[in-house]
Amino acid sequence: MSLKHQHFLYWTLSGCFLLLTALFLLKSHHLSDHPLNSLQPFDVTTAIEVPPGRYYQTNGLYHLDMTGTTQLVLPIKKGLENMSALDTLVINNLDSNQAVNLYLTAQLTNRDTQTPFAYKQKLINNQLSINELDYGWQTAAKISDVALVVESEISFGFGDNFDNRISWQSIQLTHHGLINQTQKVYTGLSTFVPLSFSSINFYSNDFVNIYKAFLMWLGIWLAINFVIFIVIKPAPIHFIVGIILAWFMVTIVFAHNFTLQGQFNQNRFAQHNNHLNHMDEKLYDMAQLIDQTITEQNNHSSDIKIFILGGESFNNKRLKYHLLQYNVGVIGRYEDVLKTLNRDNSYAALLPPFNSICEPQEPSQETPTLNILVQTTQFCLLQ
Amino acid sequence: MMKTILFSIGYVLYFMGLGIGSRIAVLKLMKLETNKRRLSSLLAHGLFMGMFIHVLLLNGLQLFGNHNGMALVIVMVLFISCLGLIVHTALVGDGIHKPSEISRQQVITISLIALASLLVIWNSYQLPNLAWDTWTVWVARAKQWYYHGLGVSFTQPNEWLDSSSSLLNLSSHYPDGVSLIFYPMLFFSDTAKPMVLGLYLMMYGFLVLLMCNRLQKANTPFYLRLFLIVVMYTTPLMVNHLLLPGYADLMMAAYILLIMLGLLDYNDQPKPALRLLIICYALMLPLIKLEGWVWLLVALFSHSFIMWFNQKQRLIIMAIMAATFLLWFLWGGITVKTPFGPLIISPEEINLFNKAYIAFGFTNVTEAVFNSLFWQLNWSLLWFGLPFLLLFMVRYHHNKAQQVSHLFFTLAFSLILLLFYLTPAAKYAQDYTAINRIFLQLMPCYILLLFNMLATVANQTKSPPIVNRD
Repeated sequence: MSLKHQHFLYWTLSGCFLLLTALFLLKSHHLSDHPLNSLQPFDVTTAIEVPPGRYYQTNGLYHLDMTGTTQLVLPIKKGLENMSALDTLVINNLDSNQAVNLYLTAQLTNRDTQTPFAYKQKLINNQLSINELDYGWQTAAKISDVALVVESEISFGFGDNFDNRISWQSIQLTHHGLINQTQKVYTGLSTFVPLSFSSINFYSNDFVNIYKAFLMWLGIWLAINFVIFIVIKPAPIHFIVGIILAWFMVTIVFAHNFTLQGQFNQNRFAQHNNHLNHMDEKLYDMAQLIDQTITEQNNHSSDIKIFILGGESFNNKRLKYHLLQYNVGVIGRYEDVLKTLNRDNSYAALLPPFNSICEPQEPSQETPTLNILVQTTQFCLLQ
Repeated sequence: MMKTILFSIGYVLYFMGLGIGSRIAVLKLMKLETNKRRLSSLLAHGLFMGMFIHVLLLNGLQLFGNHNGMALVIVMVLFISCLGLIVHTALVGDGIHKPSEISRQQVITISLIALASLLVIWNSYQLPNLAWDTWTVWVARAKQWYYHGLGVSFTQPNEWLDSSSSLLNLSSHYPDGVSLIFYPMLFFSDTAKPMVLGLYLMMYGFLVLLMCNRLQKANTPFYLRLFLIVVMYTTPLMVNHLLLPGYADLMMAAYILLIMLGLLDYNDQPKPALRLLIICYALMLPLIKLEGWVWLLVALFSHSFIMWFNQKQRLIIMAIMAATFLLWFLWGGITVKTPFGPLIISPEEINLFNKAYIAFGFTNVTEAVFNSLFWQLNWSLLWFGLPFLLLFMVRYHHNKAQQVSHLFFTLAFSLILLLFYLTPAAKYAQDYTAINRIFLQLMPCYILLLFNMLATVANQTKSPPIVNRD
């Protein structure tokens, strides 16, 4: 066989196997054994209970107003008997401006052990959101208290007023056999997964199944390519070009997310890149007020110590970070701190929830008396 | 933005000046022959060597007091001296780098790296200092030095309550290296984030350039070198560590790779100057993170095992090690009570005089390992190459420096798996908080090995592979 024919044969076989592997993976993805004709999709759009004034319809879209709240739990009024057979939740034309996280919650009973357990699955935040509900749902003996939970995404940056409104055309519980699997994979791969406070994992485990199918497809294809390469023995560059092509397919997914991340960052941080979010900005202002109060009292003495009372939570850590010009620490053991506070130049700061330490106390011999220097709804500073 | 870019470039130039100058000074003092490199390699190694000298210097100055001003003056004096030495060597001496024409390929390579870096800047510039470890650990400690002095002592909560002079720092047992690199940035920027981004991009860019230079030496086709740049800038988790800069893991990964590159260079030209360079990079590992000690020991073992012994001796050593392990396992380990505390090295636990303790127990973390290596899309398709790389390691002939790299990578990867399967660190694999960060530290090394393999495949004719190992 001539070299030209070898190359032609290599790419023909490679292309065929690329398509065959894709078809095989799409068709083999079958979890439920319910006959399709016995199942009817369940329309959730109008079956959810929403507090008055928050849910309205215009131009064929249903709008949910999140103004003044960070979480809405929308219970489904009436469930179905064979709900576990409906293993896919589809939200059509979802427009959330990436400002919310959506979850499906329920109370499930395990088929084998008959023990109830709480169920919560994060839903895909994309214009077409196709969510295969996990094994726990599909094998549950009983499903009750089903609810759609909408939470504002306030952890990152600074949203705008329009972030309070989300909309959708319809929400349906359906069977995976009734939806287009290619569309499902495409939707999953194009879903934006934002950066979080830590860069330890690129994608969260919520979306592992989608990437697993995609990477498995390319991995199997590359393995087949290797075998064809060994058998047909074309020039090595052809095998390497196959690897490069596979890499670029994954890179399209990555580049899409990268672009969305850039837009997200511009929207959320363009005017506020000194602070992580609204809470952090407030904590910075508190630190400034604490600094001002202490400076007025001590003329910024170098041996000032500040105890932030409580555990190592985000808020306490961040307040500490903003007060690092002082000898500052987060301490959970109040009794130890109270003894130490007797010394000059020691201060204690407490963030909500406040306890009795932030209430004016009568002087007593057993416990030291603390002066409340500043108290607002957001923090109290004691000496 | 312009000010930040200028500060970042200035800071990188400071490292380069410090690195190149001190290298010239040490080689002149030791009367060693200078190993001249092409300009891009000189600047890259200058940057990384400068970071090492900077950390070493400030670590030393911490012992002599608490004055930030004094520390900065000493650093500046040293930097100016280095600059003087570089200028003197370049103008009066025999030059500092190997004169070479700028090739078109080099221009394309550098342009592609610059373009990728600009895209990362576009994406990350607006972000505040989000990365958790960066602001809670590394930048926080640098800030404490900035406000309270470089020599200030840190304590844990129990001692801190009664101490009036020391500061509370829960991660004070961690090495100072990364914080010392961030520390001068705080004199120019309150959050340090834009400058950290600038430094990380330069560091990463030069690392990629060094990888390309190395592959060029191995006659790797240009298209594969371009593909390497694409891989380095599109592997999702590595790009994440650039978008949220400030983690120590990427820095650790860079120095592990530098040791590998240094060994490969030394194999080509065994000059004492290169040996010195490798030693400095190896010493940097424990100055970055605690696990640096582990990588240092693994690197030392791999190097001595391959370089000092022939194949027969290696087999004898491996047999002795296996027999010792078997005896130790069957015997139940060693348990000795000493006045300093118990010394236990058994299959159940290791207790070094109650100072260091670890208990062994199997936890099945296979799902976490597979998710992190494959299905979370952290590393794109890279780990699919592992079986082929292992096959390549044993089937082809490699020089000794390559064998050291192979052994280091295999041992380090096995150690990571052992750590997560057999120790309480399993919980950090199962909650995905540490597993990918540890893998990240090996990634540039792994990617270079993969590309060496691809280069061999690309360069091979149709003849079967040569099985010939010394």
